Amino acid sequence: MWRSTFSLIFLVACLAAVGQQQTPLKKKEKVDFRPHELKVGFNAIRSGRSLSGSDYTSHEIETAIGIHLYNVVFDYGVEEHQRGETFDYRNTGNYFRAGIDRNFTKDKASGNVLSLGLRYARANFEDQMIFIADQGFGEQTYSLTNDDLSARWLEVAFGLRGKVVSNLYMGFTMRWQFSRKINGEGDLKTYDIPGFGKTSRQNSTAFDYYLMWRLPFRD
Amino acid sequence: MKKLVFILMGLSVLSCRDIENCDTDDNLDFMIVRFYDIESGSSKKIGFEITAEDSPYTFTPFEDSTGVGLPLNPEDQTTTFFFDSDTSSFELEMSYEEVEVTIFDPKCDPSLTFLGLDTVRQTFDSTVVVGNVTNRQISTNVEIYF
Repeated sequence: MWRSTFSLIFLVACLAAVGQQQTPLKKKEKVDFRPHELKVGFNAIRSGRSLSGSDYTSHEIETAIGIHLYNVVFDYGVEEHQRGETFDYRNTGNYFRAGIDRNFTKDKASGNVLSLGLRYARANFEDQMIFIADQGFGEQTYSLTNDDLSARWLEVAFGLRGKVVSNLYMGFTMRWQFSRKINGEGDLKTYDIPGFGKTSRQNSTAFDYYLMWRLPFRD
Repeated sequence: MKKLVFILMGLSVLSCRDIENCDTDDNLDFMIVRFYDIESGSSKKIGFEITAEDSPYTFTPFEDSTGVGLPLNPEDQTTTFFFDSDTSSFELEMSYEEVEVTIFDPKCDPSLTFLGLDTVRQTFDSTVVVGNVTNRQISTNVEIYF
């Protein structure tokens, strides 16, 4: 019994060894990490909203460099917000996001993108509020300002870009923004963060639509 | 994949819809003072005329006359109150470390919150600061015993 079991194990081991010798080793393709494309575009939702309303102005540009299966993404935007019915609140500043996306499309030469990535974002801004109120001491004008505000947060970004015509691409990015921190607040608690949204949410979601122009370096 | 995209888009749109009711704002721009009998420790009805330094108003106690909401001057670090009746008069000076101004919703008035409330000076028998932040969730800021 023991002898037959040992023989069987020995036979399987020998076959496995022979099988391994006969299987030719697959030659690994050399990965090309040279950039193959640059996409430059703008956020159509922000620019569209800026044209339709007088209390909100924001513009954002996005650049994405394609390297192998990844896109190195950099966004820069400016934002100005005015709010309030019984007060005047103004928030002005700029922001940037930088990060890397993994592109899951198989044909990178097409320029289409289906991606998931991470971003680090930072905003520098100022806000001020003026209101007239009677807090029990007669009617007074209150004016509060935060001159040097900054905020940082992280984002998980899900993106889709598709070719429309020639080198023009369109698509959206959905973001989940988290780990937000604000620095420089005084008595006035800031209501908006450029690029992030309302401070009433610790975590936030956003939807942005981009129009982009592709510059292929090589196909 | 298409389904996932539509679900994510729907969630994104829903998350942008905030419906705020100004009455649900917990920030409070005045402190709540309650009065107690120094002997028994039970609630005490008052008949004071209550005024504050730099204020043109007289402040009316709550319906049960055992407490009053008193405004704090956001332009100063302290506010002094005067409690006068035919037979007695008392003073209470309150300090606060910080005045926070927040926007609960752009459709509502700005919210003021006083933080770090403390007694600077008082002529009652005893006062205790039991809630050092003005907030609707806190029913009493200062207990006064006399």
